[in-house]
Amino acid sequence: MVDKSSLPVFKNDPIIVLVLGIITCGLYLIYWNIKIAEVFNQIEGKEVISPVVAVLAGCCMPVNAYFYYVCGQHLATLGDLTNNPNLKDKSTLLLILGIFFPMVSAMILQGHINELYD
Amino acid sequence: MIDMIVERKTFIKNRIFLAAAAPVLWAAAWFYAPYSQSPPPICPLHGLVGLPCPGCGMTRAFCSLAHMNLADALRFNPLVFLFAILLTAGALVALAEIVRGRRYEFYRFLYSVRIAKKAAIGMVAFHLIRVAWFAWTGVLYHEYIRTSWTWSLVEKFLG
Repeated sequence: MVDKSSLPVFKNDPIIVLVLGIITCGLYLIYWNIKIAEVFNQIEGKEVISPVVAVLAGCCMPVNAYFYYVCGQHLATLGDLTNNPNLKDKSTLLLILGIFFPMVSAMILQGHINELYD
Repeated sequence: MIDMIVERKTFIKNRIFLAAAAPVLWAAAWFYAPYSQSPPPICPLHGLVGLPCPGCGMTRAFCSLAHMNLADALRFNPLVFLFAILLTAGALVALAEIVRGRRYEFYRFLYSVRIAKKAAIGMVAFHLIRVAWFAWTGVLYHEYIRTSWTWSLVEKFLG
């Protein structure tokens, strides 16, 4: 089990993610993707999400959907870490939302990531 | 022993997936090209704010590239060339890995945070220059702002 204190701090209000994503024309989401990849790689203790793919995801919709799919696969580990047994694999949900409403996927993920720091 | 067999199976499965991704995407882009050139805005950013995101035009660019129409691909989104090179190189490397039966270091750069940060800075610079160019040439107003959902609503209610 990974020590929670060793995780990079990336706590944001999901609404802020939405607002910054819109007003920066999606540029903030490129930075956000890199940070999320870093957090998930730390949680798993190995490289599960490529930070370079995270950058490419910021400018290519299919890659973005794939990025959310991979993040969704690792939510169960995040649930173990936050003692939240209800948090399971949400890859399909995040994949579908990632295609049509990518910012909603980002908000859901940020909400779960925030639980790490509560 | 069982672990090694499972690992080998996963390795082969992943590489087949990677090697197949390029021809499938190129074929999809080739067939979709006639329908991609004047699409309605389905991007929420374009629709709501009337602004392009860094990947705006990527589908049209990819379709143009699939038909070897380089000028159009460049006009829609120059980033498509980077994606096309990565996609094709990734597939070829995956194919070589299947044939040779061993991993190459090709994918290592994908896990470098330093490269990711440099790529992100490049992407932001590219996008800012692109939006400034669109604003200068009037593309931003005619092809983005005026075709957004918000603009349509404003026009509808204010005449």
